Amino acid sequence: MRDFFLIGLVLLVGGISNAQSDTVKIDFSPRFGNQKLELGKSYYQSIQKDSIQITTFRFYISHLEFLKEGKVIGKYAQEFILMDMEKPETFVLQYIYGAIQPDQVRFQIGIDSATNVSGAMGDDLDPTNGMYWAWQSGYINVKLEGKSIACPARNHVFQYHLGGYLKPYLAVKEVTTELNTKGKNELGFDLSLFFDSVNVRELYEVMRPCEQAVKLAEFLTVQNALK
Amino acid sequence: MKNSWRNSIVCILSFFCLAFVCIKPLLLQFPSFFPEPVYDFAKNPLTEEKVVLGRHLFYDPILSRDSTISCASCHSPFNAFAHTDHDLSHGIGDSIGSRNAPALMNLAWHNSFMWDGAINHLDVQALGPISHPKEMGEDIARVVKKLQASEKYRLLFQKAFGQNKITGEYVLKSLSQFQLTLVSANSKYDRVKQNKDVFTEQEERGYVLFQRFCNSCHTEPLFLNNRFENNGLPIDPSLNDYGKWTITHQSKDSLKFKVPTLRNLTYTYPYMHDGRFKKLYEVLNHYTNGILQSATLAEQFRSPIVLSSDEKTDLIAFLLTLNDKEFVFDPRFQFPKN
Repeated sequence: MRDFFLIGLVLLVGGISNAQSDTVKIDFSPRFGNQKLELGKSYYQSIQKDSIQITTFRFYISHLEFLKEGKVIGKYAQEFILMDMEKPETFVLQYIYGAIQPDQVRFQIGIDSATNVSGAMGDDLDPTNGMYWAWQSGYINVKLEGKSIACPARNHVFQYHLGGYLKPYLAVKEVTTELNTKGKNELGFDLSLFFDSVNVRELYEVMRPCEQAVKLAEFLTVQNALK
Repeated sequence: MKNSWRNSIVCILSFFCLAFVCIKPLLLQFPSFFPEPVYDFAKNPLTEEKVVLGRHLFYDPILSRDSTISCASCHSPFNAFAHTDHDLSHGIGDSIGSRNAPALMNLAWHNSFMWDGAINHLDVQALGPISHPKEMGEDIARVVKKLQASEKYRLLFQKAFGQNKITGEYVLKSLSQFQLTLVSANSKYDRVKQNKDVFTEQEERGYVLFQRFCNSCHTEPLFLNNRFENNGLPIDPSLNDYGKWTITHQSKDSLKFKVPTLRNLTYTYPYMHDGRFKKLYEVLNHYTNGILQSATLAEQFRSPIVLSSDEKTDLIAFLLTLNDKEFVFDPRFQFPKN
């Protein structure tokens, strides 16, 4: 009788173990080509024949959802995440999923329109984070600043503050990408691709909702380098 | 045993009483003939503690870079929270800005702010003047640091938000709360509407003219319509201010400015976005003789407005019934004494 009880207990524990959840890891650390991006480091940009240094790179990722075969099976608890090169810990997320393993993740780069008209908010949305336009309501979705030898601005400094929550200048981008639940997913923006498309000689300052902001936001692409 | 049960009940009741006493919710008071406010109080419900905190912040030049300019520097209570004697408001280091600071009253009924509609929510409006180089020249992050270093403000924030860690969100929401309490609804016009007073014959004539010529934009009972209009003002080439177009860059918004309230006009001169008119007669003369036709001109001005000199006087007599002396001298809205 005792043996049957012990076997039953082992099977029960085994069953419970199999029903336990697992974790998917996502790393949004930005890259420049095949290198992890470092602030202040010079990168040669062959298409534009330019040398680029990044001094500030901050952006919002929001409304992360996990999908299986096109259907949402879970959402990341923190709705709005401010990711910052000066705080690399902000790039790494871990999501614990239940019985169903997700095969895709979907998120927005930036802050949605409804949130933009909801007034003052806290935590990652607090205006003290330097990602809110004081002179005109609206979040800065992406703040990218640096130096480029080719940039004609004062001190060769380029400043891209990309925002806009109203059409026609809606600079929020939605991304859906494959997910690997076995290893780490590297979803960081590859800024070499961004600067392939942007001629810093001609466009080096964008600081309001406008056509250029929408275009530049489109150049921020995510390619899941599954590892 | 009985005593220990009784003591426990007393403790629990005392705790709830204390909790109730510490946070005092407030309800916005306004006449029944006002429409419902558009501000979402569910996201920032009024409490006495937050209003008190907001009042302290409103009058404190700590919000500015060199501690010389407070909100009240341009929004003076004795001028219905407008800036008089200056066509263009001035800020830090005597810098002169590009517009006249609008009067602050009945803000719970506004769905956009600033002459050009740049701000979409009251809670984020203060960020504009706080950071403008010609107004307060500061940064909200530094404001929070300065407040955090102040024992007075740590205590006020503790009372208001239940913690003494100060955030940008808390600063802005408490400023909103004080400003939301600035309700002006006790003018002669308001008393007439509630059958507590009667217009004179002249005021009544003026009211009829108002309803015919002015009410479509300056709509009763708030005397605004939350819209932006081009009222035919010729552009001032020294300012080149195109109003809402500066925000939207849409040609249909060129030369459109937010329709201001007409309450408390005696206290809020000069008039228009750039303070170009000192007297109400000048305003009316503009509407009868000074309209500049343009593509975005409001429909109401496509045909001339004809008013005799007597009719202008009658109209002004009615406009003066919108003055609310109680609001302007209300001690609850003035510099906090403690």
